[in-house]
Amino acid sequence: MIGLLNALLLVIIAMVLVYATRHYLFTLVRMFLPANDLYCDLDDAQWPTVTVQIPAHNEEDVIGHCLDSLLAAAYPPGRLLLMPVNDRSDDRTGEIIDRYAAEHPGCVVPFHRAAGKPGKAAALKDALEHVDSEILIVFDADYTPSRTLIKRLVAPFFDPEIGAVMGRVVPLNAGTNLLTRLLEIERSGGYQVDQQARMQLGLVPQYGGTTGGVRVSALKEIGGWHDDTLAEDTDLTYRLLLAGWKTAYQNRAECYEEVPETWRMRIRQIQRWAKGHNQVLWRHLFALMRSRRVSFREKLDGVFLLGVYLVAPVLAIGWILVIVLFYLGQTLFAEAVFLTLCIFVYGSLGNFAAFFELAAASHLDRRRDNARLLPLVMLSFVVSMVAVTRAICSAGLDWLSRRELVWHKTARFRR
Amino acid sequence: MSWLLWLGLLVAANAALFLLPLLPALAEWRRRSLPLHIPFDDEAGIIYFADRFRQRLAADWGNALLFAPAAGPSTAMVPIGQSLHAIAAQLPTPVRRQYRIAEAGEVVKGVPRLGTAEQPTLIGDVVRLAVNTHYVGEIYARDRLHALGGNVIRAVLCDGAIELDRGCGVLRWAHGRSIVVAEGSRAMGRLSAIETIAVGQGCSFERLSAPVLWFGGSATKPPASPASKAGRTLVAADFPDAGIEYQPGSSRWLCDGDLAIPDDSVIDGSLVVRGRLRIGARSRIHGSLKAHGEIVIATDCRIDGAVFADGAISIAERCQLNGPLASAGHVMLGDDCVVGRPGRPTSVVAPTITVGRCTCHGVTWARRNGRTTP
Repeated sequence: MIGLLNALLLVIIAMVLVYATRHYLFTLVRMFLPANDLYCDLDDAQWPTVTVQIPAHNEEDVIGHCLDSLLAAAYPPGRLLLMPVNDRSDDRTGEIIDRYAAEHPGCVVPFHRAAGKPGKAAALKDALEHVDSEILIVFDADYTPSRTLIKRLVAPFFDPEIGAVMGRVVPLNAGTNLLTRLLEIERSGGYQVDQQARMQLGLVPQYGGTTGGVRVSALKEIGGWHDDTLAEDTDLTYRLLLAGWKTAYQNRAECYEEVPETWRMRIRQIQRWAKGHNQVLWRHLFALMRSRRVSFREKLDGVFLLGVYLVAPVLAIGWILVIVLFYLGQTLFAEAVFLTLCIFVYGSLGNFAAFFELAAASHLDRRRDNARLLPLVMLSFVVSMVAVTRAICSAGLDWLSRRELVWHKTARFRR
Repeated sequence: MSWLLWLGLLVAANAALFLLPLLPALAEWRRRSLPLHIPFDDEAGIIYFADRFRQRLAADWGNALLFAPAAGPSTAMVPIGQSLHAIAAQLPTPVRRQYRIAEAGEVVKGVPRLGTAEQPTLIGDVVRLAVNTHYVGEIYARDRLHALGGNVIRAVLCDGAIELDRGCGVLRWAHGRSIVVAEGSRAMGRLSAIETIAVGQGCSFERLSAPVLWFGGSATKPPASPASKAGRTLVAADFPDAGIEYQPGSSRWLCDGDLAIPDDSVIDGSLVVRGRLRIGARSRIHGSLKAHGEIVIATDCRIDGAVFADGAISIAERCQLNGPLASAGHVMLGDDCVVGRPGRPTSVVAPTITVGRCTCHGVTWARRNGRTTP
C-alpha cells in the first residue's frame, strides 16, 4: 500500500515538475529572448472586411461604452461592420443596440436572438450565419477597445497560416480590491509571459473568446462554433490546430476588461473555465496526439495546455499524499533519499514556478510593486485549487448523470 | 491567569512572526493602484512626434505658422499672416529664448559635434544647414529644409521639401511633404512624408512611410506584368512527392517540407510551407505565401497577396508584390521591384532589410537596420 502511494506521489511530482519546467522555460524566454513579432508592425495594407460581434446578454450598463469605442476605431470606412448580438436580454440591451443601429445605419447591424440555447457559443453560432466578411472579431460587452485595436488584431490574418488571433486583456478595475489586484497579476502572467512565450516558441497560443478574431473561411471550414461546450474558445483553438490553422497571440493588441470583484463570482468563473477546458481535453486529446498536421512541439504544448486545469487537483492530491505518507511512518530523510529530493524540488520549485512567472510578468509590465503582493497570490491560488477540484468533481457527476453543462454569465460591476 | 497571558503572548509572537514577511504585501494591498497603462494608440503612429512638435509650435506661435499652397501648378507653400520676426517680437521672453529664427538666405552653422551645446529650436521659412555641422535642437521649416552635407539633425518638421545631401544623418524623426536622402546618409528613427521619400544609394534607414518610397536613385518604372505571359496553372497533384494537402475552402496548399515552384507557373491560392519555399521565375501567385524557412522568389514574379517567412525573404529583380512582406530575419529586395501600388499602400517589415533600386508604396520598417545597396 505504502509502495503504491509512493509510486503515485512520484507520478504526481513528475507531472508537477514538468509543468514547473514549462513555467520556467516560458519565463526565461520572455525575460531574455526578443519578441520577434511578424505582424505587430504592419502599418499599411489593404485591410480585409471585418465584422465585430459583441455578444450581449443583459448588458445595458456596458454595451453603450463598447459600441462607442468600436465606432471610433481606426479602420478603413466601409470595411468594418459592428454586429451586437442581443442574446435573449430582458433588460434595455436590445433597445440601446437598436438606437445605435438607427444612429449608424450600415455600420451597426444588430442581431437579436429571442430564443434558443443559452450561452455565448450558441449566440455566436446563430449570428455566424449573418456574417459575410473575411474576418470575425469578438468582444465581450464590457470591453473598451482602443482605436487601433482592430487593425492590430487583423494584421496577422494576412498570414495564410493564421486561423485565429488573440489579443491581451488588461483589468480596468484592478485597483478595486485585493481580488482584482491578484487577478491583475494572474492576467499579466497569463498573457505577458505564458501566451507570448508560446507565440515566440511556435507553440499553441490560445484563442480566448474575446479580444480576438477568427478567419471566417477557416471557421466555416471546421464547422462553425460548437454550442455544446462551455469553452468555445479553447475548443476553437484545437479544432483550428487540427485543421492546420495556427492561432497568433498579439501582446500589443491590448484591451481593458472587467474582472470579477467578488470571490463568489470569481469561483463561478473559474469553475466554468475548468469544466469547459476539461470538456475540450476529452474531446480533442487523442485527435491531437494522432494528428499528422500538428508538429511534435505543438502536440506537446497542446497536451500540456489541455491538462492545465488538472494540475490543481493533482497538486492537492500530492500535498495530501505527502502528509499521509509522513504519518504512515515514511521518514523522508533516511530511506527514501530520491523521494525526499523529489519532494524538496517539488516543494521549492514545482509549487512556486507559477509565482516566478507572475513576478516576471510584473517586471515586464513595469509593475514591480505588484510583485510585493505575491505572498497573497497564495490565497487566490488555494481558492482556485479548491474551485477547480470541485468543478472537476461536478463535471464528473454531470457526465455520469448525463446532465447538460450550463453556462453562467459573469456579472458586471461597471455602471 | 499567568499561563493564559503566556499563551496569549506566544500566539501573538507567532502571529507577528508569520505576518512580518507579509508586511510589504499588506502595505502594497492598501496602496491605491491604477490600471495598467495601455499606450495611447497614436504613440506608435509614425507621425506622433511630428504632431506633438506641431502642437507645441501652434501653442507658442499661433497663426504665424499657418501656410497654404501657392497659386498655380507649383507645389510651393506660402506663409499666411505676419513674418516670424514680427510674431517673435510679441512672444514672452522665456518663450522667445527657446527659438532661433533662420534669416532668409542664411546658412545656419550648428555645432561641430554632438553634445557640445544646447541648441534652441530652429525655425524659418527656408532653413539651410552649413556643411558638416550638427543641429540637435528641433527644426521647423515652413517651406524647405536643406542640409548641405555631412549634417546630423535630431528632429525636423517641414511643410515643404526636406533635402538631406550626401552623408547626412537624422537621429530621431523627420516629417515633410517630400524627403530626399542623398547617398551615404543615415536615416535613423522615423521618416515620413505626405508625398514621396527618395533614399539614395548606400544609405541606412529604419522606419520610412510615404505613399511612394524610392530606393537607390530615381523613380523605378513598374515592371511589366508577368501575367501577360501564359504560365501553366499548377495544382497540388503536380507535386506528388512534396506531401501537399490542398484545402479547397480556403484555397490553401499545406506543404510539410520544402517546396519549389517551377518557372512560368501560376498558382491559384495560398502556399503554407513548413520548410523552404522557392518560386520560379515569371511565376504568378494568386494568393499569399508563408514559409517556416526562407523564401526565394526568382525574377519577374508577381505575388497578389502577402509574403511571410520565419527565415529570410529574397526577391530577385523586377518582381511585383501587392501585399505585406514580413520576415523574422532578413528581407532582400532586388532592383526594379515594386511593392504595393499607388493608392494601395502596404508594408515591408523585418529586422534587417536590403533594398536595391526599387519602389515601395506605404511603410518600410527595418527594426534593426535597413540599407540601400551602394
